[in-house]
Amino acid sequence: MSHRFRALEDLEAELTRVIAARAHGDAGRPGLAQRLTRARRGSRLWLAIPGIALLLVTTTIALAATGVILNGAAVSPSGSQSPVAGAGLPLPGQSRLLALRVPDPSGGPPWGMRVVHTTRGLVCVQIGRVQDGQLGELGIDGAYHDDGRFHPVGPGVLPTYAGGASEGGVTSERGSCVLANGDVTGNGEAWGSAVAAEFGGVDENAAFALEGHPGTVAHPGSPGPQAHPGPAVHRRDITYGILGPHAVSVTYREGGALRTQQVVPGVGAYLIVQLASSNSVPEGHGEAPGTDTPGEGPGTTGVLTSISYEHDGKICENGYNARTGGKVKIQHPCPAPNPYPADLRVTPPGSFVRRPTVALEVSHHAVTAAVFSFSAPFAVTSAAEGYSLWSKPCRGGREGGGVAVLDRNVAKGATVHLTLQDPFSPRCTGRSISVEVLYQSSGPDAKRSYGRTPGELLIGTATVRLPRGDRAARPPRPARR
Amino acid sequence: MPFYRQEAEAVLLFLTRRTLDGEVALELTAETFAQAWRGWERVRVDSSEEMRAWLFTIARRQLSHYFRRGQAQRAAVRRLGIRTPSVHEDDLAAIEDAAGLGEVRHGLAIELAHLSDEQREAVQLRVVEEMPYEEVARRLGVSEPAARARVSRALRALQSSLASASVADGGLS
Repeated sequence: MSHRFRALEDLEAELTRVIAARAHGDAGRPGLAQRLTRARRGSRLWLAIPGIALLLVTTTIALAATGVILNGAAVSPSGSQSPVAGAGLPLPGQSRLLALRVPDPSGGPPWGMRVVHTTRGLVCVQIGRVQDGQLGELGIDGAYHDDGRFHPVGPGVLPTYAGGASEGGVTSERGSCVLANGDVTGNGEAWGSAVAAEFGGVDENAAFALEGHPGTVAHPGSPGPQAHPGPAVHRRDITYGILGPHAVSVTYREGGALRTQQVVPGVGAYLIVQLASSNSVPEGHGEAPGTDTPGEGPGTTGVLTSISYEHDGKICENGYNARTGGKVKIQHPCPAPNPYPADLRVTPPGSFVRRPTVALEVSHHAVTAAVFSFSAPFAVTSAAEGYSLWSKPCRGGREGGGVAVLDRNVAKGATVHLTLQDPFSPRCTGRSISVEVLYQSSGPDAKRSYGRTPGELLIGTATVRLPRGDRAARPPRPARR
Repeated sequence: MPFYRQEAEAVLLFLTRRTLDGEVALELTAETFAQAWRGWERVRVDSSEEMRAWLFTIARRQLSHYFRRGQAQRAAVRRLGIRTPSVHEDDLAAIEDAAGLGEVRHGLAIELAHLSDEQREAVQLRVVEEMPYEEVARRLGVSEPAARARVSRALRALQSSLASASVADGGLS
């Protein structure tokens, strides 16, 4: 049977390709204690000193069996960190390892969650294994040379944050960060900041640090990452979040049953760790469906089926029928989250309008970058504010186009430099690009231009022409099918 | 994929009628099936009717997100690495014809009067005159994301009138 529409045939072929490529599984591997032992046994250093190896292997077996593992080197922050760039730095005294502890299906150190407030106005949530009051990762399945140890991850090791006033926040290998003061809808003020994220099919070692290769890390001095996606029996589906001070409990599916977990009071934290389902594939981190907006119910495809909140002194609930996916009749449904306010203040064009200067970087007649510079009409004091630059794509939006985002604080009047890499596409016939520079803001004082998405203020435009004799540097991208 | 073959067209047309846009509907269809595949193990359904109801619940959520945020959610599609196929012009015409958009568009002419000037113009350009978003944005003097957001909000405002439009939805309105 073929579809009436070619596009549906193409989509079916694409779905089939992806599912076939990702479907794999395994079973029958040893338990965590044995794997910690084997990992340690596999370490070349210990193999070189048999006496010590025997002693430590024996010790590791005993410790793993009792749930205590020797500590290894602490994880260090990657790259340089700054209080005014990226995610910022943890605010002193504002990092908290929550009391929440969730056992792993295979035993070993329980899972836990840390909430970190940063100098750039973010709330970051991180998960991992917990031992001696520390969040950390296990040296198995290719992580940390398979040393079988527990590697603490300090609060200074924050999720990566590329910059920009992204109201939806960001989930990366080290956790999830959102703006502490909520978005332009005021939902944050009304309900508290919300994080809803999941790690699908990741290894039980909690070493999520290498995107694309969940469960592995790049070892210092090693030539590159090791890919050990791990068999299904050692992979986990992890769902976690903070739902704000009004959340009371979450209900979720486990096997054929529904279970309810009381959230951590004050922050509304929940953490669910399950064996990866048979069709769960190593896919790493991502947003969890549905609960990215405070006060909203869960999506239909995640593990959560309902969320209870306390609202105006009463318990209300958002959810759906876990059996059919249909909406459930709820006696006290929670009020819907706020939509974008239609009357969000519009800032008319004024003194903030800028005309950016442009400098092209050219190598062997190929334009590799365009650097836009302008004086900042508004200060950027946190991740809730920022500047970005957008170039318009060609060919119906499928080719060309690019984005550059400021990832740090700037003072009012300071010169901002934004670099657009490969500004010209060889697949676009035009020899010029149109660029818009936006100031983005969130929270109750968000600005907007007429006709713009709330939070977007157009501060400048520019047209950049490809110099005669030069060409686009960007190699052709494969066309969308 | 028998389930996809059985339901894909119904989902696509369901979404096309509500977004009035075959390309957007295909994006939403891709996300719907990607989410369905990811959630498959977790949902217990005994009959094809229940399965269908679950699938359309996901599709409605995609619509809700689209109307709220002005763009299709692409979380599952991105995570699975699915490339949403582009729609050929002839195919697009066939999809929109099958969805009965001609009739819906006619009815819209009356309902448009209830919109604000800026929303009416956005819908007029995109839905009635069928311009690409790039052109809509140029005509309105706004960015393409802003044009998309304006059209989606206008369509949300028209949602109630669309629901009462005399278009068959296979019992899944």
